[in-house]
Amino acid sequence: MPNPKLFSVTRRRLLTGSAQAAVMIGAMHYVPALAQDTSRAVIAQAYDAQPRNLLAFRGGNFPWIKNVFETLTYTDPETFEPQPELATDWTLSDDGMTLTLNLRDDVTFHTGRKMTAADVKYSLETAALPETASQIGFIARSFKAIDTPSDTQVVITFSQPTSNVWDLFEETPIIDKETYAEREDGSKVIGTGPYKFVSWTPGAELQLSRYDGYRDKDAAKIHDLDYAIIADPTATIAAVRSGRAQIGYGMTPRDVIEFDRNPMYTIVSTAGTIYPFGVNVEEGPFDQKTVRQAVGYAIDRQRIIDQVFDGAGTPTDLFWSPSSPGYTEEQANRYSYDPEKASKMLEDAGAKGAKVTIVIPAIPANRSIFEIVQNNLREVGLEPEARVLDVAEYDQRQVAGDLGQSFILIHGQVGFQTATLLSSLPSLRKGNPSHFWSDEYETLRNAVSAASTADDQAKAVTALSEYMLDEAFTLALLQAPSPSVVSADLEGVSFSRRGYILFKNATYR
Amino acid sequence: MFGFLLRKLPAVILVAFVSSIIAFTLPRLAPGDPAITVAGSDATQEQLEAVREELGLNQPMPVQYIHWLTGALQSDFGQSYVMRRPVSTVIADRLESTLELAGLATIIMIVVGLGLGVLAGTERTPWGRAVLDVATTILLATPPFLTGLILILIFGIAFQLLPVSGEVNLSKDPVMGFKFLILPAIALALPQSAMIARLLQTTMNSTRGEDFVDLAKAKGVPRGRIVRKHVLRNSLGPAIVAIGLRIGDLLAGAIIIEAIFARNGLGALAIYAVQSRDYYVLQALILGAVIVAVLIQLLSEILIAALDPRIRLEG
Repeated sequence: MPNPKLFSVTRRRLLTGSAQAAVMIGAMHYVPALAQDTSRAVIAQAYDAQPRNLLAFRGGNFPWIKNVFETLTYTDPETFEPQPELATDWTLSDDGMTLTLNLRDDVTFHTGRKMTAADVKYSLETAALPETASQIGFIARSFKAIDTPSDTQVVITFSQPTSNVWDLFEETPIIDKETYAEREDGSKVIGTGPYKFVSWTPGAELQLSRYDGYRDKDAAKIHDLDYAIIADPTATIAAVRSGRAQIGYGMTPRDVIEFDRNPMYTIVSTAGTIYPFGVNVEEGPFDQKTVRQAVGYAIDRQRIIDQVFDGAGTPTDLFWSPSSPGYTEEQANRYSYDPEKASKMLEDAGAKGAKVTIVIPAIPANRSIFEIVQNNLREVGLEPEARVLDVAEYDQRQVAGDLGQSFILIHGQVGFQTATLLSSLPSLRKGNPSHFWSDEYETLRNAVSAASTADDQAKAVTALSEYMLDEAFTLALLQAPSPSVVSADLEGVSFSRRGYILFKNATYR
Repeated sequence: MFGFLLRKLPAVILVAFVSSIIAFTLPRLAPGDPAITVAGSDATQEQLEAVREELGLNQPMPVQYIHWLTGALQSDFGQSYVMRRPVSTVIADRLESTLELAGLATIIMIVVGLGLGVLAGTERTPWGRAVLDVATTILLATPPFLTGLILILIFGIAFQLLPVSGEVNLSKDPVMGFKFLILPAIALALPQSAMIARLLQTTMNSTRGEDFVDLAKAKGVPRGRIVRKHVLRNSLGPAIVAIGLRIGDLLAGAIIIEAIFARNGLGALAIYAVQSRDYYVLQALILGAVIVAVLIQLLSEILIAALDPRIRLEG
């Protein structure tokens, strides 16, 4: 017979046990101390920093790099005009082939050494090297010469008029040639910005602290910046909600829903991502232009935005920023959702029932977009199926321009000038996975690069867009912003149009 | 015991050697390229080739293997392609976090598992048995990530009693470190402890029906002594083997727990290394995992022999 004394849960025991547990937990009461420390801000970001790739765009560098490094110019988010940063002013020769930049003379690196024109020349030349992997290094590679007549003047001679040189200036941090080789492991990451790089634990955290030698003594009022690398979105939400982090950087629209309309947080949307649908024009049925255009009419972009991005995003057939010269609403919405038209075009082309393999990377947004695209294409008579690739394999095949019959890509270069995107985006450059290239395409691209005035640029971009829409080898589908959550305790934190966080003027309320 | 270990040595060396070949080959069989992580997905073929050259990825595989193995024998496991630091440094930076998590989770697993197992494996009232069975079943059915999320919601967001994101090493601040550690360790340990409890309960129930237990009862041995000295001691063997195996599962489960509690241990490093195809880091982690498993297995055998006089290590 069981012994009742061995185990008996009486009410008194239960209450006593509960009370003891409550006291124990109470004794461990945790107040999120970091949130109340106004000398420090914590930023949660999904991707690790990559000090090796200072001159290439890396998601993990966006939240910190522009606090440690400065650039020659930046683009005004309102007017889109270049504004002085390390360059004070500039002059373009009448023929558009020579640009003379004057530099500030009060800039020092974090080592204390004065920055000179030689450092600017070194930075631009390094950006041009293939191993630097700068997406816009091709602009620097096209320079005929970089001269430094004095410590505060740089003269660049172009081999052809280069309207997108401002993208290069804004995206190329001025690096210290004496320590650049030691940046790889994070031991010496030396810039000229208001914060200096203190330490980096790969995959875990990054620490910056105020640079006392910075020329503007009122800058960097928050003394320390800690970056926590948190790959899991749920953990990022927990970090912000529990008060550990004041900023959750680069979250998805779905993740920020719970911060919406909460007065303790502000949601900031910047730059973002383009999700193009591309086809290989050498493989049937996409070797027929009519079929490619039919696919354009078949896809319901608004539904993708509503269901995948919770309404945040712009449906568009174009890769360019809506505010850029030559971007027209008519062209952006050329392929408005019209399944009946798409169905008829496919029937006329004899492509009904064609099997279509769509390659997608194993990224949640791309998978969700595929679900809708698959449904849309089935409605009009195609038979789509997914081939999901691990991101590493997908990237490898994208670089090789070998993604198969059709594919849903992901590009993060929103905000660049059209001339830059033409050569930096894998979808559009030579060797693209659509295997599309023609003399007319090349001529129209060159016209965009050579256009020196806004009017000329607008005309050239419109003409190129018209051609690309007609050929329909790749359609942007949509541009989705990248939201970040900022605690209401912070003020003065700004985001550049490309999504960099700037803490120069940040303070606690 | 020394003889036992000496006899096991050739097998351990063979396992380590074969594991080194698998650890080297396996990551390279998967599509992808560490140079892509460095060069970026937008890189051109020319940029990719330049980075491959810089990282030494263009060398033939056997040359790379011999180069790595020679280094590994001298404690040099190469340099991370992505982090640009020695692999040993990268792993050492993360080791304490994982050891602390796995260590505390192991203690919780053993205490809760054996405690629940003994409670459930001894005679009790129908109500007591029902409560224990339900508790064990719930713990068994709840995966660590769900336990973790529930703990985060209750203790980190609803009441903010304990930190639920990040970590502080115990060596730096034991009190704060423990606060950061306790929730992930509980989340990790509970399902494993329920398995041990269920195993121990079953074994104890079976042992209670053995002749030697009846003999002890007939001789008038007190009930508590029968449970401790006869039933429990003879039932612990399978539980110890299970604990050894569960420690391996704890390390695997730590990958998810580290992710949701934003801890930066070896699990998070392994995920990062797989995603970025950081071969040298992956190789060291795979090899390390195999060696740890072998050592735990040896330790289990030694412990079982110590508990059961019928088993002799030299036998």
